[in-house]
Amino acid sequence: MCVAGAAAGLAGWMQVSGVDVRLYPFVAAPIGYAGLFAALLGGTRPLGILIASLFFGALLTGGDSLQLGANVSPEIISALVGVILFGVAARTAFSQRSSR
Amino acid sequence: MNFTTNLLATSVALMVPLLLAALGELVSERSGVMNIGLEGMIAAGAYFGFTVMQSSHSAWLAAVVGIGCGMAVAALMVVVCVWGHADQILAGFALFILVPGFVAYLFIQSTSGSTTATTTQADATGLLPSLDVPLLHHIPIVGDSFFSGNGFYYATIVLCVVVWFLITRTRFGLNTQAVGHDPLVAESRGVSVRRVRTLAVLFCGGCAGLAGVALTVGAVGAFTPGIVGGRGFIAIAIVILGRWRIGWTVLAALVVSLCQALELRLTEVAPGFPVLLLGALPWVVVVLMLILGARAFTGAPRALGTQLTGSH
Repeated sequence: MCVAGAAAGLAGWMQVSGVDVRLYPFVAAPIGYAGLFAALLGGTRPLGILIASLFFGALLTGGDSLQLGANVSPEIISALVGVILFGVAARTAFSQRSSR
Repeated sequence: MNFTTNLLATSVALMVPLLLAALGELVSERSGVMNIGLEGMIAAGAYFGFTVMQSSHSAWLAAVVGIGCGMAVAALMVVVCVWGHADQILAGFALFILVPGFVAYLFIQSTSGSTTATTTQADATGLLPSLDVPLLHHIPIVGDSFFSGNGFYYATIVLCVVVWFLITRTRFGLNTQAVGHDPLVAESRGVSVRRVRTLAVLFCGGCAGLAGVALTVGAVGAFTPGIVGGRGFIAIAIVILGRWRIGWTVLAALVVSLCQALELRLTEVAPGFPVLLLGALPWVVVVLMLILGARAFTGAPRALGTQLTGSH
């Protein structure tokens, strides 16, 4: 838990000093949840989490240009992420059952 | 004096959607299903209830559609977590991000970029008419807040009694508690764990959908993409604060909404008070309860969050 807190703190510092270069309320709004989803999708394996984070980073950044390019609002990205996670949950649900 | 009256009225108005959602979550958790996707169920009810209200101007129809949509989202949870063996937290979080994102997308596409819309009703406020309890609403200070409100407020009171009766006085309620404490034993005594949990989660979805309608149609009279704003998690915190009992849950909902009302109204009388801290207060109490540990959790269903076992 201490390591987790330290890593999350590091992420916050990187966001403020490296990415946004300013501090504002709700600075952690997308990163906190996205981090949680990356961990869940990556199946709590370091390499899986690396791939999942890269994937989520691409989705979240790409969502912003979706409005300009295709006139689709970026909210569809969170729906897409939800569908992916739900798919993961459903897959484990029924694969466990069939293995019995 | 006027401040107290306004404060209580605001608290009760804020309490209605929270308490509705918390009652549903209470039933779901008593059956052993940790329903993190509550936020998604509220969002579904909020958006579709509001859309129906906009087109039909019927609050009844909006409530029915909201309940139906909440139950539809709950059905997804049921399929993977009760009928399948999915991790409840993972599926719940998927719904937590899926449904609010989806309705925000639908809303923005349908309004072509505008991020807010209001119910276009005849009366100026766009809200439902307030119904007063005869005589009692003349009581100073508390009368205006506790004996006056729109239909959703009275529906909440009725639902509190219904849930209390259902949990403590019926066979279904006792089965729910048994399943929440020990699904294996309940199964061996002839109770269908799957059936009980399915009904409990669907009930939770219905309550959460109604909470969403109470929020957009009843309290605000408008829809914005982020309108649910974490109320699902606050409702879960209320259930924990209320130690999985109906009476305490109602009290916890009142205290939490009082904090939120103070956050909105305290600047009127005490400018400069750090009101945002009040929003964090319920969470501080939840964390303290987690630290203080076992005694606070005597009412917790012992099989909470576990997967269904033994029914195959």
